[in-house]
Amino acid sequence: MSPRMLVWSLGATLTLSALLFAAAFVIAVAGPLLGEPLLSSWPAVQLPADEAPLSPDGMAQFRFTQGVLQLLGGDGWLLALKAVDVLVVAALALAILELLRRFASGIRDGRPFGDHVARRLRCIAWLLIAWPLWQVLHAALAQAWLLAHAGRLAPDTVLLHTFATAPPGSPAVRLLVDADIGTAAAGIVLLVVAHAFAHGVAQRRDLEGIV
Amino acid sequence: MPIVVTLDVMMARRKMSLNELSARVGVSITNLSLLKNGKVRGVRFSTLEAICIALDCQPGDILEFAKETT
Repeated sequence: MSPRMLVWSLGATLTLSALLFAAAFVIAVAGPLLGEPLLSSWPAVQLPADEAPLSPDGMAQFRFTQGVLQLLGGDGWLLALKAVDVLVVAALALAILELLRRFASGIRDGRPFGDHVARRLRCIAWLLIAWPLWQVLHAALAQAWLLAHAGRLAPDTVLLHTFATAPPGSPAVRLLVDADIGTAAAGIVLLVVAHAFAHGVAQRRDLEGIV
Repeated sequence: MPIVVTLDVMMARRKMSLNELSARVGVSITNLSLLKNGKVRGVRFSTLEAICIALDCQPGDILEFAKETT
C-alpha cells in the first residue's frame, strides 16, 4: 500500500471510528435517560463448575448465560461508569489512530525518521499499555458496584470478585476481568521499538554531514 | 572550524578533476564538492583512504589544523 493510500485509509478509519464511538456514547447514555432499561454485561464464571445452571428466579435482574453475567437495570452510577468507559476507550482508540495517521503522513512527506516519529511511537506504546489498565480499573469499579448491590439483585446467589474464594455449599458466580493482555504486550514491544528508533534517529543525526 | 580541507590544492597538484576523483573514490560529486569547500562535519576513514589512494598522498596533505584566534 502506498503511503498516500495509507494516510487516506487511516483518515477514513479515524472518521468512521469517531462516528461509531459518538453513536455508541449516544446509545449508552441517551437510551436509559429516555426510559430504556440499562443493559450491562460482565464476563463471569459459575462456581462450582459442575453445578447445574443457576436458577433465573434467584437472580432478580441478572441473567447468566455462556460466561456472561447480564444485568437489566442499574442506577445513575452504573450509567455514568458506562458513559466514562465509552469515552475513555474512544479517547484511547482515536488517539492511537490519529498518531498512526500522523506517522504515515510523515512517511508520505519524506520525513520517516525524526524525533517526532520516535515520540509518536512512544505515545502509541503508552496508550496501548493504558488500554488494559483502564479495563482492569473499569472492571474493579463495576465489581465494587455489583458486590455492593448483590444482595438486592441476586439474593440466592453469591457474587464474588475475581480473587475471592468461593464459600462451600451455595452457588456462586465469580466475576472476571476482561483485560486484553495482548494489547499491553504489543505496547511493551512498541516501547522497545520506539527506544531503538530514538537511538537510531540520534545516530543518524550524528552522521549527518559526514562524507 | 579549525580543520581546513585542502583537497582542491592536492587535486590541482595532481591535475585531477572532481569528476575523475569522484569516479575513482566512489563518492558523489556533490559530496566531494561539499568536502572540497569544507562544508561537511566529518570524513569517514574509508573515504579518506580512497582519496589518499586516488591522489597518492597522505591525510595530512588534504587536511590542515589551523588554530582559531579569537
